[in-house]
Amino acid sequence: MKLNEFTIKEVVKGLEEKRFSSLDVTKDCLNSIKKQEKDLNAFITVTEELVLKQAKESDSRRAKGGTLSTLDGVPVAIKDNMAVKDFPTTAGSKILEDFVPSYDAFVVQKLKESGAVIIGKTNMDEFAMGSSTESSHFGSTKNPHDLERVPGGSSGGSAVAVAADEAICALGSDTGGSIRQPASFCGVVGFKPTYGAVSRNGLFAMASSLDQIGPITKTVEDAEILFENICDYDKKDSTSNEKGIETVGKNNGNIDLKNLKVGVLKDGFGDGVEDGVKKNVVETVERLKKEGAIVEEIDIEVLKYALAVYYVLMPVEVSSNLGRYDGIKYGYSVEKEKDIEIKNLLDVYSKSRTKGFGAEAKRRIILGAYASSAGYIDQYYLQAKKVAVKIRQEFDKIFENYDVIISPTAPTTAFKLGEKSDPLSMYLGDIFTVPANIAGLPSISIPCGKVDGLPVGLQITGQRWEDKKVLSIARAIEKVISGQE
Amino acid sequence: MKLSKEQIEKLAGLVRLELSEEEKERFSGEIASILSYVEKLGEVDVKGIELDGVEISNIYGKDKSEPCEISQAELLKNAPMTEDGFIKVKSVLE
Repeated sequence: MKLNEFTIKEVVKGLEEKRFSSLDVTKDCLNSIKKQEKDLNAFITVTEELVLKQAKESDSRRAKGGTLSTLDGVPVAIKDNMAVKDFPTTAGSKILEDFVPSYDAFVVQKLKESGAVIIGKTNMDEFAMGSSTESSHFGSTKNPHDLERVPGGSSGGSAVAVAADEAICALGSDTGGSIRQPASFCGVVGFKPTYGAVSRNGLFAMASSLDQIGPITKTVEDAEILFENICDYDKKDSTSNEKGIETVGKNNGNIDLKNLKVGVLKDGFGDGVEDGVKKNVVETVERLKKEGAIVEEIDIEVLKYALAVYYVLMPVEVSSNLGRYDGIKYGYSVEKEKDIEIKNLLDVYSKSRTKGFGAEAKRRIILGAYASSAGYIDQYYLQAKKVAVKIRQEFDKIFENYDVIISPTAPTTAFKLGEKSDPLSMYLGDIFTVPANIAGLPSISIPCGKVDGLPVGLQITGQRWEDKKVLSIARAIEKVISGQE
Repeated sequence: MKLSKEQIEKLAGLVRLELSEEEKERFSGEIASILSYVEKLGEVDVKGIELDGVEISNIYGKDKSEPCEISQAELLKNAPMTEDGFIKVKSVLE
C-alpha cells in the first residue's frame, strides 16, 4: 500500500512512530497527482516546490520534537474558493483566473497553524454553482470510478482528490449539497457542519446564508479529525458562532445503535430515486433495525418546497455577492485587453463581467436580480424566506423525537458528462441535500455500497450543534455498512 | 410564463451584463422554467411567520479602526490599473 492511500489516522500514526516522514507521504501524493491528473483534472493549481517546502518544514519540526498538532505533516487539498496566501485562487472562474490572495482564509490559517501540508487547490463549478464540476472555467473533473461520468459538484475536485488518493483529505464548501453530493458520487465521506460552526472568512461567497465549509475524507473518523481542526470562533465572520467551540468539545464516544431513534424520509424512496440507490439505502436501514435502532418513517410536508426555496434564496444572494467582481479592484478586467474599445466606467463593469463570468453564473445573477426586484420581492424572496423559517421549525419538531434523519444523499449515482444540459434537471438532483442548508443542520454523506460499479451515498442529518453526535452515529453506521459489504 | 426580451435586457443592464441575442433567448426560456417551478411557494401558508429574530442574529463589530497586517502595495497588486498607490478607473462620463 502506498502512503497516499492512507487515512489521516494512519498517516498520523506512521508519522508518530517515525515509520515514514511527511515528505514521503507528500511525495506519494504528488506522484499520484502526476500520474492521474491528465485523466481526472481534480486540481487547478499544485505548486510542487511550495508543497515540498511545507513537508520538509513539518519533518524538521517533528525531528525537534515540536509538532504543532496531530495534523502536522498531513497533506490536505483545498477547494479553490478558499483564499490561500500567494496561491492562485480562482473559484473555478475566468474572472479570478489570475487572482492571488494576499491573505489566508480562516480555515487555511487554522490548517497552517496545525502544520498540515497544503497540497493544492481543487477544481470546482464556477463560484460553486453546479452539481457536476462541469461549469469550471478550467474544464470538467472526471469521476475516478468511470471517467465518462461527473464527480458531482461543486466540490468535485476535492472529492476526486480524496477518492483517487491524490490527497489524504480535503476541504470543500457546501451551499446546497456541494460537499455531500460529490462525496456520494465518488464514494468518500463528506460532512457539512452546522451553519456558523466554521468561519467563512476567506471563502469566496456564493450564498452567504447557506455556505458552509467542511471536510471530505476517506472515513468518518477522519472527517471528525479535520472538523475539529477547523471549527472555531472567528470575529471576522459575523455568522461565526461561539457555540462551535462547545460543540467540538463534546465527546459522544461510541454511540450504541440500540434504541437510536432514526427518522427515514418518506420521500427518500419516492419517484425519481433510482432503484439501485433505493435498494442500497433500504438494506442499510434494515440492518440498523437489526442492530436495535428504532426506525420510523417521517413525512415533513413542507420539505416538498425546499428546492423552490433554495432556487430563490440562493440566486438572490449570488446576484448580490457577485456584484463585487467589476474589473476594478481585482480579477479579470477588460482594461487589460488591447482590442476592446472601452468608453467609460460602466463599460469596464459590463464588459469585464460579461467576459469574465460563465453561463451558469450569468443565469443565476439575472434570476436573482429578478426575484429580488421591486414588484417581485414579496412573491419570491420574502415568501421563500418565510417558507425557509417554516422548514426550520418543522425540523426542530422532528428532532424533539428523533436523533437523526436518514435519506439517500442524491437520488442517483454519478451521471454522464453533458447528460444534464437543462439547468432545472440538474437542480432537481439537490432535493435531499438542500434542506440541511436551509435549516443550518449538520449533515454527512457516507458511502453505502455501489450500483453497477458506481458509489451510492447515505445521508445522515442531525439537529443544529449536534455535529459530534451526527459524526458518532455516522461512525457506527459506517461500521454496519462495511460489515454488510 | 416567458420573460420578454425587454425584461431580460433590463435585468441584464441592472446587473451589468451584456447578453448576445442567443443568450437572451436561451436565458429567458431557462429562467422562465425555473420561475414556474418556484411558483408553488405561493401555496404555503406563512401566516404568523416573522422574519426577525428567528435566524442567527447579527453580530456587529465595534466601530474602531484596527491595523491591517497586509500592506497597501500587497493589496493593490491584484488591481488591474493603479497609479501612485490608488486604483485608477475610467471616467464615469464620456
